[in-house]
Amino acid sequence: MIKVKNLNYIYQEGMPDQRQALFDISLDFDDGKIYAIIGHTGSGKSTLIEHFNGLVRPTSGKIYIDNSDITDKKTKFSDIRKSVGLVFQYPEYQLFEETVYLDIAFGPKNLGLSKEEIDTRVRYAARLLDIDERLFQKSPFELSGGQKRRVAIAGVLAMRPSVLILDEPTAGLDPRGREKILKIIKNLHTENPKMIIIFVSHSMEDVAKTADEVIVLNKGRICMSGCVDEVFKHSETLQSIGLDIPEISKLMHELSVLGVPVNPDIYTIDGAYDNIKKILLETNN
Amino acid sequence: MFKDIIIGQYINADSVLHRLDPKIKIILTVLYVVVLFIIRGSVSYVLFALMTLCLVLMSNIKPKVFIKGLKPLVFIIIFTAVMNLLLTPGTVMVRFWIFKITYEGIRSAVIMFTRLVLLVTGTSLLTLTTSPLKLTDAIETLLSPLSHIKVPAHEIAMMMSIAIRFIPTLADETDKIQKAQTSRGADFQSGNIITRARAMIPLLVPLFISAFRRADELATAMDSRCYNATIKRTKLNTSRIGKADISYALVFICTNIIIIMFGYII
Repeated sequence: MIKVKNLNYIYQEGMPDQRQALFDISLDFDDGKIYAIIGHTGSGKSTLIEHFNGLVRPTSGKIYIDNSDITDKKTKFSDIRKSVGLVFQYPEYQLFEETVYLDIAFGPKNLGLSKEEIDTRVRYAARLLDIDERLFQKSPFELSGGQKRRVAIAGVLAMRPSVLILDEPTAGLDPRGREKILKIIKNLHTENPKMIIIFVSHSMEDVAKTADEVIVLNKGRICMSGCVDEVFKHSETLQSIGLDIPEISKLMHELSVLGVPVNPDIYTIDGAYDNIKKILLETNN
Repeated sequence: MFKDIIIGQYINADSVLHRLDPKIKIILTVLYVVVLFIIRGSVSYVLFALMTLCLVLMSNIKPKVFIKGLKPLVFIIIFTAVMNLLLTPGTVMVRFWIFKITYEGIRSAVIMFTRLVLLVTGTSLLTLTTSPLKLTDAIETLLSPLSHIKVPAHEIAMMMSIAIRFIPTLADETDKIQKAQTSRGADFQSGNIITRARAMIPLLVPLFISAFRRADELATAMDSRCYNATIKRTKLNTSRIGKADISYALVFICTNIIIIMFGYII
């Protein structure tokens, strides 16, 4: 469980370009749920998640992970990083090893694990991310963009974190690559039912498809938070802060404005399909 | 650690130093460095340090920024000072284990320390108060007489402006990669020199790859806009040296001559 209490962060404090990036953030993340953090560019999403594994220290406020205070100066960062895995934006740019296998093994090796344990973890992470074992001896730089990204995510997952945070995991991928990453996130959730998964996204479609709960940030403050249904109901607020709602939500809204008796709060294509089918069947009868 | 490097960073403000002609500023900075290395005697150093302090105050940039800029170089500066302290032969003052501290050692350590600190502060004054664009423009103008002897002034200026332009980008990139590898348990701080050097591999490999990628992209972008270095260009903003620039330069030169003289008189 992650508990964030009254978190404030001032970027470059004392320098001429100092500015406050986060204002009084309080949040709870429960075990076994998928969270999405959305917000406009510069809303503080990335800064917020960098706090969760101790890369950034809050200016004030507290963060507890499983009841231990990670803002405490005595907390060892190596312990935090063992339990919180952070996948950065465009993680494929961090690949550096000679082979895919060695790159995935980098994290577990840093944890000081035995050779056998490292091997099991590499294979485990590769399986979860659908990386063929035949790629293990290849150089990571020979892979395709989507493959590179999956190898990079596997590198974090091989550390077996109890919290996995992904910053824009689908950015810059083609539709098939996107689908694959989202499916992998869902799979991860089924395989590790207690894991907290937090992902930052720009894409409302991704959020609608994958997340249980949504946190909306605007200019460093929490604008809304709650389950996906609730948040997407406030389409005007979302649009007013420069965010878009899923295309299908727009369609359902338009239809209901035109007098078609659809449910305007539907935000997935499957939901819309069922809803429209039901209405069509009713009118046919 | 890399985001603290202030060399090549420009801070937008308004001050006498910001308004000074960049060509004059470059020449005066060169002069500053030369004078720093020819002055003798503690009085001269104190006066020179005072002059630097005045310049820092005149720049309208918080002194904190300069101190932050010194931080990444603390190791080199202290290392040089300690080396000077322990390895200068002369009249022995203190002796312990295999080391001996000499009177000359203390003297040269203090001088080295002061020189390096002033050197970094003085030269960062130039880059902090001059935008990279103006800076390279000025370098191009200063080098242009040399183009008669086939020195590629424009190309040099272009390369410099690209290099300067990419310092913050690469520093950002380094910061990002460093954070990412730290999240994967990489440790850049502990261990002896060899383990630390090895620990840099996960940082340097991605950084080089990204630098090459960026260079490639930039080259393509320049090509697609038909960039050609041999074509003569006119400038949008030509800076002219005014009366204020000349009087400032004269004051600076006179101050420096006085400071140098003090070393030889006293």
